[in-house]
Amino acid sequence: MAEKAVQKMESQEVERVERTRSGRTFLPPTDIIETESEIILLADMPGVDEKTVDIILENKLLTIQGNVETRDDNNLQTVYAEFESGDYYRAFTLSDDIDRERIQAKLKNGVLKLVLPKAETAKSRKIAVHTGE
Amino acid sequence: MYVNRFLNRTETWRWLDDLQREMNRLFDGYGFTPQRAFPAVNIRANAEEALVSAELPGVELKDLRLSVMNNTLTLEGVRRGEPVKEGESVHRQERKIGDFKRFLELPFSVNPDRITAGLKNGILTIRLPRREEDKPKSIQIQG
Repeated sequence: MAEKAVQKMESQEVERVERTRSGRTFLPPTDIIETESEIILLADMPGVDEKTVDIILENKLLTIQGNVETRDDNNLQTVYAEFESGDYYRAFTLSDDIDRERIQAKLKNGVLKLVLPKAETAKSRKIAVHTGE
Repeated sequence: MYVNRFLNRTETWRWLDDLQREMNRLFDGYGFTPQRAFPAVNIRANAEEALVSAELPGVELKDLRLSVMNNTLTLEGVRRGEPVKEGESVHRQERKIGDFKRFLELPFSVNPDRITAGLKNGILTIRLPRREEDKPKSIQIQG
Protein backbone atom coordinates (compact mmCIF):
# COMPACT_ATOMS: atom_id res chain seq x y z
CA MET A 1 0.00 0.00 0.00
CA ALA A 2 2.93 2.30 -0.58
CA GLU A 3 1.30 5.44 -1.74
CA LYS A 4 2.91 8.50 -3.15
CA ALA A 5 0.49 11.34 -3.18
CA VAL A 6 1.05 13.21 -6.39
CA GLN A 7 -1.15 16.19 -6.83
CA LYS A 8 -1.61 18.75 -9.48
CA MET A 9 0.92 21.34 -8.50
CA GLU A 10 -0.31 24.79 -7.88
CA SER A 11 1.65 27.61 -9.43
CA GLN A 12 3.48 29.78 -6.91
CA GLU A 13 4.65 32.35 -9.41
CA VAL A 14 1.15 33.63 -9.92
CA GLU A 15 1.12 35.12 -6.47
CA ARG A 16 3.71 37.59 -7.60
CA VAL A 17 1.75 38.51 -10.69
CA GLU A 18 -1.69 39.77 -9.84
CA ARG A 19 -4.55 38.14 -11.60
CA THR A 20 -7.93 39.44 -12.56
CA ARG A 21 -9.53 36.01 -12.82
CA SER A 22 -10.68 33.99 -9.88
CA GLY A 23 -9.98 30.30 -9.41
CA ARG A 24 -6.86 28.27 -8.96
CA THR A 25 -3.85 28.24 -11.22
CA PHE A 26 -1.78 25.16 -11.85
CA LEU A 27 1.75 24.47 -12.99
CA PRO A 28 1.63 22.42 -16.19
CA PRO A 29 3.96 19.37 -16.07
CA THR A 30 6.61 20.03 -18.69
CA ASP A 31 9.27 18.17 -20.65
CA ILE A 32 12.19 20.10 -22.09
CA ILE A 33 14.32 18.51 -24.77
CA GLU A 34 17.30 20.15 -26.37
CA THR A 35 18.64 19.22 -29.76
CA GLU A 36 21.57 20.73 -31.58
CA SER A 37 19.42 23.29 -33.32
CA GLU A 38 16.38 23.78 -31.13
CA ILE A 39 14.74 23.54 -27.74
CA ILE A 40 11.48 21.59 -27.60
CA LEU A 41 9.07 22.20 -24.78
CA LEU A 42 6.03 20.01 -24.12
CA ALA A 43 3.48 21.08 -21.52
CA ASP A 44 0.37 19.23 -20.36
CA MET A 45 -2.52 21.65 -20.29
CA PRO A 46 -5.75 19.64 -20.46
CA GLY A 47 -8.76 21.80 -21.22
CA VAL A 48 -6.80 24.48 -23.05
CA ASP A 49 -7.17 25.01 -26.80
CA GLU A 50 -5.33 27.16 -29.31
CA LYS A 51 -7.58 30.14 -28.60
CA THR A 52 -7.12 30.16 -24.84
CA VAL A 53 -3.34 29.80 -24.69
CA ASP A 54 -0.89 32.70 -24.51
CA ILE A 55 2.82 32.39 -25.06
CA ILE A 56 4.97 35.42 -24.36
CA LEU A 57 8.70 35.70 -24.84
CA GLU A 58 10.22 38.79 -23.33
CA ASN A 59 13.98 39.00 -23.37
CA LYS A 60 14.86 35.60 -22.00
CA LEU A 61 11.68 35.02 -20.06
CA LEU A 62 9.21 32.64 -21.64
CA THR A 63 5.72 32.69 -20.16
CA ILE A 64 3.00 30.17 -20.86
CA GLN A 65 -0.56 30.88 -19.85
CA GLY A 66 -3.67 28.87 -20.47
CA ASN A 67 -7.20 29.62 -19.46
CA VAL A 68 -9.70 26.88 -18.81
CA GLU A 69 -13.38 27.67 -18.89
CA THR A 70 -15.07 25.81 -16.09
CA ARG A 71 -18.68 24.98 -16.63
CA ASP A 72 -20.80 24.02 -13.71
CA ASP A 73 -23.41 21.42 -14.31
CA ASN A 74 -25.60 22.28 -11.41
CA ASN A 75 -27.84 19.26 -11.46
CA LEU A 76 -24.88 16.93 -10.88
CA GLN A 77 -23.26 16.29 -7.55
CA THR A 78 -19.63 15.41 -7.02
CA VAL A 79 -19.29 11.80 -5.98
CA TYR A 80 -15.54 11.48 -6.21
CA ALA A 81 -12.92 14.08 -7.07
CA GLU A 82 -9.24 13.85 -7.86
CA PHE A 83 -8.63 16.96 -9.89
CA GLU A 84 -9.80 20.49 -10.02
CA SER A 85 -10.03 22.60 -13.14
CA GLY A 86 -8.11 25.82 -13.28
CA ASP A 87 -5.84 27.96 -15.36
CA TYR A 88 -2.20 27.22 -16.12
CA TYR A 89 0.80 29.45 -15.67
CA ARG A 90 4.48 28.78 -15.95
CA ALA A 91 7.55 30.81 -16.77
CA PHE A 92 10.98 29.68 -17.96
CA THR A 93 14.25 31.48 -18.39
CA LEU A 94 15.89 30.54 -21.64
CA SER A 95 19.62 30.14 -21.62
CA ASP A 96 20.32 30.42 -25.31
CA ASP A 97 19.43 33.13 -27.73
CA ILE A 98 16.31 32.09 -29.53
CA ASP A 99 15.41 32.93 -33.07
CA ARG A 100 12.10 34.61 -32.30
CA GLU A 101 10.93 34.71 -35.89
CA ARG A 102 10.91 30.96 -36.22
CA ILE A 103 9.25 29.90 -32.97
CA GLN A 104 6.50 27.35 -33.57
CA ALA A 105 3.67 26.54 -31.20
CA LYS A 106 1.16 23.72 -31.56
CA LEU A 107 -1.60 22.62 -29.27
CA LYS A 108 -3.02 19.16 -29.70
CA ASN A 109 -5.11 17.08 -27.30
CA GLY A 110 -4.29 19.44 -24.45
CA VAL A 111 -0.53 19.27 -24.96
CA LEU A 112 1.36 22.40 -25.94
CA LYS A 113 4.42 21.86 -28.09
CA LEU A 114 6.80 24.74 -28.46
CA VAL A 115 9.73 24.55 -30.81
CA LEU A 116 12.27 27.24 -30.09
CA PRO A 117 15.01 27.30 -32.73
CA LYS A 118 18.36 28.51 -31.52
CA ALA A 119 19.69 31.65 -33.15
CA GLU A 120 22.63 31.13 -35.50
CA THR A 121 25.03 32.84 -33.12
CA ALA A 122 24.03 30.61 -30.25
CA LYS A 123 24.62 27.32 -32.03
CA SER A 124 27.71 25.64 -30.79
CA ARG A 125 30.56 25.89 -33.22
CA LYS A 126 33.63 23.79 -33.35
CA ILE A 127 36.62 25.89 -32.54
CA ALA A 128 39.87 24.88 -34.04
CA VAL A 129 42.67 24.86 -31.52
CA HIS A 130 46.12 25.61 -32.73
CA THR A 131 49.37 25.03 -30.96
CA GLY A 132 50.52 28.24 -29.37
CA GLU A 133 53.78 28.84 -31.14
CA MET B 1 -17.47 4.23 7.75
CA TYR B 2 -17.98 1.41 10.20
CA VAL B 3 -15.85 -1.42 11.50
CA ASN B 4 -17.18 -4.85 10.78
CA ARG B 5 -15.76 -7.51 13.05
CA PHE B 6 -16.23 -10.21 10.47
CA LEU B 7 -14.23 -8.82 7.60
CA ASN B 8 -12.44 -11.34 5.43
CA ARG B 9 -8.93 -10.79 4.11
CA THR B 10 -9.84 -8.93 0.92
CA GLU B 11 -12.37 -6.83 2.68
CA THR B 12 -9.83 -5.87 5.33
CA TRP B 13 -7.44 -4.56 2.72
CA ARG B 14 -10.22 -2.76 0.99
CA TRP B 15 -11.32 -1.25 4.23
CA LEU B 16 -7.78 -0.08 4.97
CA ASP B 17 -7.57 1.37 1.50
CA ASP B 18 -10.80 3.27 2.03
CA LEU B 19 -9.52 4.50 5.37
CA GLN B 20 -6.29 5.71 3.79
CA ARG B 21 -8.26 7.56 1.16
CA GLU B 22 -10.50 9.10 3.76
CA MET B 23 -7.48 10.27 5.78
CA ASN B 24 -5.84 11.75 2.69
CA ARG B 25 -9.00 13.61 1.92
CA LEU B 26 -9.20 14.97 5.46
CA PHE B 27 -5.65 16.26 5.46
CA ASP B 28 -5.74 17.58 1.97
CA GLY B 29 -7.91 20.46 3.09
CA TYR B 30 -9.63 21.07 -0.23
CA GLY B 31 -11.81 17.99 -0.21
CA PHE B 32 -9.81 16.51 -3.08
CA THR B 33 -8.29 13.06 -2.95
CA PRO B 34 -4.58 13.19 -3.70
CA GLN B 35 -4.07 11.77 -7.12
CA ARG B 36 -2.69 8.27 -6.85
CA ALA B 37 -2.96 7.05 -10.38
CA PHE B 38 -2.97 8.35 -13.93
CA PRO B 39 -5.32 9.69 -15.12
CA ALA B 40 -6.92 11.89 -12.51
CA VAL B 41 -10.65 11.24 -12.47
CA ASN B 42 -13.73 13.11 -11.29
CA ILE B 43 -17.12 11.48 -10.93
CA ARG B 44 -20.32 13.45 -10.73
CA ALA B 45 -23.82 12.04 -10.68
CA ASN B 46 -27.50 12.59 -10.11
CA ALA B 47 -30.36 10.09 -9.91
CA GLU B 48 -30.43 9.68 -13.72
CA GLU B 49 -26.82 9.54 -14.86
CA ALA B 50 -23.15 9.69 -13.96
CA LEU B 51 -20.56 11.89 -15.59
CA VAL B 52 -16.95 10.75 -15.44
CA SER B 53 -14.20 13.10 -16.54
CA ALA B 54 -10.50 12.35 -16.80
CA GLU B 55 -7.49 14.47 -17.66
CA LEU B 56 -5.75 12.69 -20.52
CA PRO B 57 -3.49 15.20 -22.26
CA GLY B 58 -1.73 13.79 -25.28
CA VAL B 59 -3.78 10.59 -25.42
CA GLU B 60 -5.23 9.71 -28.80
CA LEU B 61 -8.71 8.26 -29.16
CA LYS B 62 -7.32 5.13 -30.80
CA ASP B 63 -5.17 4.45 -27.73
CA LEU B 64 -8.10 4.51 -25.34
CA ARG B 65 -10.37 1.64 -24.32
CA LEU B 66 -13.47 1.79 -22.19
CA SER B 67 -15.56 -1.03 -20.83
CA VAL B 68 -18.33 -1.27 -18.31
CA MET B 69 -19.77 -4.04 -16.20
CA ASN B 70 -22.66 -3.30 -13.89
CA ASN B 71 -21.34 -0.38 -11.89
CA THR B 72 -17.64 -0.73 -12.69
CA LEU B 73 -16.08 1.34 -15.45
CA THR B 74 -12.68 0.30 -16.76
CA LEU B 75 -10.58 2.96 -18.39
CA GLU B 76 -7.36 1.83 -20.01
CA GLY B 77 -4.96 2.95 -22.63
CA VAL B 78 -1.52 4.16 -23.39
CA ARG B 79 0.02 7.57 -23.36
CA ARG B 80 2.79 7.73 -25.91
CA GLY B 81 5.81 9.93 -25.52
CA GLU B 82 8.12 11.19 -28.17
CA PRO B 83 11.16 8.95 -28.36
CA VAL B 84 14.41 10.69 -27.53
CA LYS B 85 16.68 10.64 -30.55
CA GLU B 86 20.42 10.52 -30.51
CA GLY B 87 22.03 13.85 -29.90
CA GLU B 88 19.09 15.13 -27.87
CA SER B 89 19.33 15.85 -24.22
CA VAL B 90 16.40 15.89 -21.83
CA HIS B 91 16.53 18.77 -19.38
CA ARG B 92 13.26 18.16 -17.68
CA GLN B 93 10.83 15.26 -17.69
CA GLU B 94 7.70 15.75 -15.66
CA ARG B 95 5.06 14.29 -17.93
CA LYS B 96 4.15 10.70 -17.23
CA ILE B 97 3.99 8.29 -20.14
CA GLY B 98 3.14 4.64 -20.54
CA ASP B 99 0.22 2.29 -20.00
CA PHE B 100 -2.58 3.07 -17.60
CA LYS B 101 -5.60 1.21 -16.32
CA ARG B 102 -8.18 2.32 -13.83
CA PHE B 103 -11.25 0.66 -12.40
CA LEU B 104 -13.87 3.10 -11.28
CA GLU B 105 -16.80 2.30 -9.10
CA LEU B 106 -19.92 4.17 -10.11
CA PRO B 107 -22.70 5.00 -7.68
CA PHE B 108 -25.14 2.78 -9.60
CA SER B 109 -25.46 0.18 -12.33
CA VAL B 110 -25.39 1.71 -15.82
CA ASN B 111 -26.87 0.87 -19.19
CA PRO B 112 -23.87 -0.08 -21.38
CA ASP B 113 -25.75 0.56 -24.64
CA ARG B 114 -26.39 4.19 -23.93
CA ILE B 115 -22.93 5.33 -22.84
CA THR B 116 -21.47 8.27 -24.73
CA ALA B 117 -17.89 9.48 -24.53
CA GLY B 118 -15.94 12.36 -26.00
CA LEU B 119 -12.32 13.48 -25.94
CA LYS B 120 -11.68 17.19 -26.26
CA ASN B 121 -8.50 19.14 -25.56
CA GLY B 122 -7.14 16.29 -23.50
CA ILE B 123 -10.20 15.88 -21.32
CA LEU B 124 -12.26 12.72 -21.61
CA THR B 125 -15.92 12.98 -20.68
CA ILE B 126 -18.06 9.87 -20.31
CA ARG B 127 -21.79 10.10 -19.79
CA LEU B 128 -23.29 6.94 -18.29
CA PRO B 129 -27.08 6.72 -17.96
CA ARG B 130 -28.39 4.74 -15.03
CA ARG B 131 -29.96 1.37 -15.70
CA GLU B 132 -33.74 1.70 -15.83
CA GLU B 133 -34.29 -1.14 -13.32
CA ASP B 134 -31.87 0.52 -10.92
CA LYS B 135 -33.68 3.86 -10.73
CA PRO B 136 -35.57 4.64 -7.57
CA LYS B 137 -39.35 4.20 -7.86
CA SER B 138 -41.76 6.35 -6.01
CA ILE B 139 -44.41 4.39 -4.18
CA GLN B 140 -47.92 5.62 -3.87
CA ILE B 141 -49.12 5.53 -0.29
CA GLN B 142 -52.74 4.62 0.04
CA GLY B 143 -54.57 6.47 2.77
